[in-house]
Amino acid sequence: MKAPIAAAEVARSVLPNGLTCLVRSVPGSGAVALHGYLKAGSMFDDAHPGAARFVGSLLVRGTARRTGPQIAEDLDAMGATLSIAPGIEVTALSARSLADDLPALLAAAAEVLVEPSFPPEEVERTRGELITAIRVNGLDTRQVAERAFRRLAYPAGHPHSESPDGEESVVGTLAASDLRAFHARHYRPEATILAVAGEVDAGRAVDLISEAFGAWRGKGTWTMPSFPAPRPPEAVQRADIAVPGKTQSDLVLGVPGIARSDPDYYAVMMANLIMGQLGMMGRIGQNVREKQGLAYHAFSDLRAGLLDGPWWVRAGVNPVNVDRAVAAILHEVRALQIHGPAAEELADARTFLVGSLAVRLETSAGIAQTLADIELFELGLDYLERYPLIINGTSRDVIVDAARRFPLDAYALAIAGPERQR
Amino acid sequence: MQGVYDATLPNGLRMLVQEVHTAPVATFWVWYRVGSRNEVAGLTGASHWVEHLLFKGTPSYPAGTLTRLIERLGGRWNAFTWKDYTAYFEVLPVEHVETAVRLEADRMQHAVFDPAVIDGERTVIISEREGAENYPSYYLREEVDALAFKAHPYRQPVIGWKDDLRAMTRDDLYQHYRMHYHPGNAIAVAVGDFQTTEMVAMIESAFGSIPAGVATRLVRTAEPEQTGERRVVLRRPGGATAYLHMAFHAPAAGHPDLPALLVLNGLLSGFAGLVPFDGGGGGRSSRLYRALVDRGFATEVGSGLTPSADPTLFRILATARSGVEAKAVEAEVDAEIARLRDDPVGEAELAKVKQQARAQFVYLRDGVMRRAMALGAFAAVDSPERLFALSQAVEHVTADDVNRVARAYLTEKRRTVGWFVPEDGAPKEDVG
Repeated sequence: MKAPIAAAEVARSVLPNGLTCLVRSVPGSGAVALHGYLKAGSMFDDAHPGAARFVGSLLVRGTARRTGPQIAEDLDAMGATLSIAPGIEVTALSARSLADDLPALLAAAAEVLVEPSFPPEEVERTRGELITAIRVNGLDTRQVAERAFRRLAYPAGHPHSESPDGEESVVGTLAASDLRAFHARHYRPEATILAVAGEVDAGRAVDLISEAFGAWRGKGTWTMPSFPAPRPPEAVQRADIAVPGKTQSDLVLGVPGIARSDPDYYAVMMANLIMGQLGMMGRIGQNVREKQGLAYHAFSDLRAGLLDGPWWVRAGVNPVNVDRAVAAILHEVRALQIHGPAAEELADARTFLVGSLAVRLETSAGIAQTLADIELFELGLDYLERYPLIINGTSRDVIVDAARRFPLDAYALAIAGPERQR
Repeated sequence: MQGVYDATLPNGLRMLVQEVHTAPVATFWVWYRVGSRNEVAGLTGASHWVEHLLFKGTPSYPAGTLTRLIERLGGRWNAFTWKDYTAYFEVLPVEHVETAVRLEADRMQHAVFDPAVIDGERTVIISEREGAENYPSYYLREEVDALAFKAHPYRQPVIGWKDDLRAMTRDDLYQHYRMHYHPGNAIAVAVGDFQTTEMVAMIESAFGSIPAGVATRLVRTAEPEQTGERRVVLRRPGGATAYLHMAFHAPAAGHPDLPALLVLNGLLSGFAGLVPFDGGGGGRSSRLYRALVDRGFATEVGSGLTPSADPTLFRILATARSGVEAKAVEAEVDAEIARLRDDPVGEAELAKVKQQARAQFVYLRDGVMRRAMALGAFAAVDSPERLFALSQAVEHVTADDVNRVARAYLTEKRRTVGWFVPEDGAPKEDVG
């Protein structure tokens, strides 16, 4: 089966300053999609929880060349969009424009990443928005459960122990100088990946990227810092948070997972797929939703990133059903650990993963994101060509071993919802 | 019509087929012209529940096999219910698209309505509703819809009222299915890397022998003209900030004023594009963003309407910045509406919105899903040609047109205003 994108069909270039760019031509679309990552997420917040998100939110609000309103006007006049999503490990940039506007779009992307100016009024305005979001999330059962889970599962100081929202008390007092310092320290071309897909000639796009980003001064090799490793959990840790005014309880049950670079990644990913994604949300969905009718959403997810993000099960259930749902989840994980996947389940997982590659790449935006991910995790440009072999070569035994890594007697469980009788 | 093959089978099934050869994928949809609009009091939520039941199997494809089959072929699938329609889709490698066509034809007629399964699904749907209830903005929307429409079924929530969900019977649902799920009430949409003649043959082969079915009961109630402002203030715990939800009566998808309203919306919050629920628009130079977010009244603001089968609502929504009252947010929105009514729109600004519209129309061509969704949604509420006609018509909207429709539709008499006002209450944590 022909790979949807062969290595030879992607132009990859590393600029002298260390920025890596990838370009894939998609003729006939009339538009271009950008997807970029800066390895400058909240993992660098250190003593200032919320700093990375604050910085990311300000990038489009003023640069050395244009005010925020001017940037907005110029982008909107082209019918282009550019947005920044600050996360835990990376700050992501997504942008889109008509094909002819690629030079202007790249110039805008470079401008906001390289030269934000943090104008005082914008800092204050953004501060209020971030604090509003923290307060709103503080009464959102999914967010509350997730936050509590992170604190239970990860040691203090580990980037995944906190949400990138940060703390209101800190966000409330961060100064523009703190934000500038964060930007100066962590926004670097060596830590930046930019992927472009759409109606573009690959060679020309690389030239344009070089033009837009070439003047960004590098600082030398970037290395991932190390963080305190999560201890292997020793017992079940549980947090129950009563949130006023709610009808449903949201639960998060899980453990620190693995990094994307872990040699067992494919085995764990496939175990997770069978556990809580494939079909109507895997074995967990089959039990919690289909069989028992306890939840509309019940699934598992593996957040394998640069670091060992969570491996968690999430569900939204009526408060009276929380214990039953937890029991059902544990039952399914245990069953998978003891009996492993059925032959048909495993075959389905393999054909789904391999077969769905083309579907995942049906839009330019999807292609740009996939290329950026391939670069971020250093998978190699031939990754998509090797993918079927990798998936088909991941044996049943290693998948069962992977499933057994989910500790049934030492996980973290956070529940947020109406007050419950216990 | 713009490279779209459009034909109707003798049994009434309309087919819209478009070739797209940039990637070896195809998407197949069936849109049924049934949604909460077609529900009667006591049976709200039936359309959405039927949508769930269409995943519970047929004699040929027992429960669970449909989703696994599509995934085994490398595909994605889903469905959704709205006020005007229920849509089912698959997107998969093009060599497997026929499976999707056969599955859809099969469940159009043969979905098993097993009472035990239906009863089991009751709590799932109630859980879906309760998940939405955790969000103050959901409650606010529900209040505004029910108040803005006093007679028309658009007042009903798509998920249904909870008591109706508790009382719904197998026969209620089965009758709803039989009444609305037949070829004459459906549109098949296929977009992808195939040859049109082959795809049409597949659809004919799968659907052609399904009997035409009786015409569905028409929605007879037209919403009477609103002649005075309606207001609701929702006060409850569970929200951290205030929300504003303002809704004005607006025309249906086929109305000649729609292009001007779409441009008006573009001025307010960026031209959103014509794919429903796509989340387009939102430019930071737009009037509402400048007036509310840049000036510190709101942290988020949006506006728009979904092209609908019947006269609908044009909405303006805002999340107040923490500490700002809904009243203050409303005052700023009122000022922007007054500008739209009274002040001429500048050429540059109008040109900006039109360029956004052009760009959105180009973005529609990225991949196969967006096109299929836009074609189907317009076919279900009006006609697929309307999608293209609207993009053309937007080009010709004048500054005067914008003022005119603002005066005609954005009036106090035609509006319903909802506020969510937070009540005290903080989370309490028990850690063990």
